[in-house]
Amino acid sequence: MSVMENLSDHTLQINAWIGLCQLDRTFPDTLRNLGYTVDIIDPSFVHEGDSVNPDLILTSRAYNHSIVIDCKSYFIKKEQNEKYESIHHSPEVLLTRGIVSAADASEDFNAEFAYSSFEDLAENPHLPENDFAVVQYDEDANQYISRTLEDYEFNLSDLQDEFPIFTDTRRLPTDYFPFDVGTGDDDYRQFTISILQSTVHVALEQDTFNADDLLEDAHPLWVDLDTNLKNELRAHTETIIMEYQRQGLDGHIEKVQAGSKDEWKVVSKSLQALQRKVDGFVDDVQEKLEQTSLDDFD
Amino acid sequence: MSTSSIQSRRDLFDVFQHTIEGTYDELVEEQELQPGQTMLKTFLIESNVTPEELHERVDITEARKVDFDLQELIIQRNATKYTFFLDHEDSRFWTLYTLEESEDAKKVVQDMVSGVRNGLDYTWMPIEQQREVMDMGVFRDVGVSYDADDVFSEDYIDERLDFGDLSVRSSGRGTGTLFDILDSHDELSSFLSLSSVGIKRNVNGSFILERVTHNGRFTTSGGDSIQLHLDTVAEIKERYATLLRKIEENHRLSYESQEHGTGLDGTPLVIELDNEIEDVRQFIENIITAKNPLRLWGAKTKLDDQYWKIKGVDLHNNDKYTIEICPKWLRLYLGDEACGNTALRIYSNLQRHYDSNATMEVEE
Repeated sequence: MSVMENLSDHTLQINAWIGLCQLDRTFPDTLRNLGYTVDIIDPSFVHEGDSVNPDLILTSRAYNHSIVIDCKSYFIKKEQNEKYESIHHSPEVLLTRGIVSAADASEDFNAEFAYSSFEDLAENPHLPENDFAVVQYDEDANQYISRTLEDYEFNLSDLQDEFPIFTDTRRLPTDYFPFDVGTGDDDYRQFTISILQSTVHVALEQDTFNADDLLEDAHPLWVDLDTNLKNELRAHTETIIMEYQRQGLDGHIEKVQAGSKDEWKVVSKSLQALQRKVDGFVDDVQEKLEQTSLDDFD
Repeated sequence: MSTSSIQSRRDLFDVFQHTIEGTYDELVEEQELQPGQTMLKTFLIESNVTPEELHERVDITEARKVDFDLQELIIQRNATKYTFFLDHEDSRFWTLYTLEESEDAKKVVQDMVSGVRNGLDYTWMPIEQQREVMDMGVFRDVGVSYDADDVFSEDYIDERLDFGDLSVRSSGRGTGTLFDILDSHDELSSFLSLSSVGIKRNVNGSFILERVTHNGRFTTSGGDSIQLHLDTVAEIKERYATLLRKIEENHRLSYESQEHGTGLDGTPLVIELDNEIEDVRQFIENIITAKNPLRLWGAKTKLDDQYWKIKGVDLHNNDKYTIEICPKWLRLYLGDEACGNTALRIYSNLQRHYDSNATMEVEE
């Protein structure tokens, strides 16, 4: 489990993988140097009658190769293994279905599947005996070490040669994929501050807004989410709106809305007042969202 | 001053040519200007609006077209009228000329850029670009103004910073040497925030005396070639515009909905600090306040004791930002519609109010 607070391991892993594909002086760009870019986040498609939904696909045009990644806590399901195995052995489906777009269809294309975790999955009874890669984000006092497990290495040798990857920091990037809500790895705190950010942003643009306006502004993947997840996020957003109304924060928001006279003074004063209350508000909302989630579960 | 005879760019620049020759002669001979005699001031303004929209931001009592993309504007402020010439041939970077008194001109321009989400802003030159101005000519004078007390509380300054306010102004012979000595001093170099740089630029026997501030104001104290002034402004603008363009091309995160998921493009900016932050939480509570000069509002979360994340809004222009911050660096994420000037404002203000040795790498 990661030592970073207020962010799920699932979200952190997605960010770490994306970070390895980016130019950033504070984090290694190992995969970027091999030409990998973020091809698709949260892909979802049907293959051989099964719904397939890994977390991320990274593609290198230089190697015409994709890494299909599923970020796990510890548990691995047998049926997931079977689904991924089928993709792993017929990677061209990723091209022919248009799921991977950063590869060159006219050249030989290959893809490998990888499980990723902060835990050591070596002892996991459901770890399949196949040639999937399994990557662990291990840590020492100063950094994370991304390593492949023995017998679960990447087949592409230039890629495998880069492992282990030393991050030289325990401070992973966190905002490429800012939060996960509705999947069991709930980043309620990140979700709440994102909604608050969007509340101020949208209020400065328009006089009225609703939960959908805020979600569209706050959630980078909003357009592509399925209806059930959208409904769950709407309910959480309504909870946040109701809570800030109950605590009287809506008065500060209304004052910054479009059309105020003497703009800067009004906006500055109102948002200073909001700023003073934000920390306590986020604590209260997180508790409420967690409680709502538990009630639903019960 | 009657401006009715100015009917074209050439007429305008002829007037400015006489002005810079006159001010130079007076300063050389008398060491001061005649009453009513003023220097040419030129402001570089970053714009995301049309000149027509400027009428919504300041009180323009008259606007006269002088030439293509060049207008004379009579702007009223506190019942006094001021004359400016707005050149918007470059729609992203406007050039605003005036012969009004320096303090009056600064206040009129401040009114233009200081609203909320008004689409106009200063050009916030990082120290690296100000140092490049030094190299454009013979270094004449320098203003250093480290203003931590504009941002940080008295307690924070007392506990955490060596200076709350450091001002140095030097001109004439030895200025370059003095600056080099201060700059080479490890304990001082993080506090040498340049507020202005003065140079004498010579090209092919012509010369111009310019003082350029960190926020894109040029004061021309003399010279014999208005064309050399225009060229100096153009070169500095082009350098800034190139930097801004690279930020907007490479450092805005954009998410694109695709048939089977979402694509991602862009990478954040990293600002590395020389003056390490002792207490990150306290630092955030001083800079994210919804107050001038930074105008950043935000909600923070702790990631570890000395690693925090802020999601907020830049109230200059209502751009969303995310900052992850630890003692040695800040990682700044901008949305796909954010203005590159937001990054440069945050960066140059950090240099000005916290650490003049902060650096930011921009992808080519």
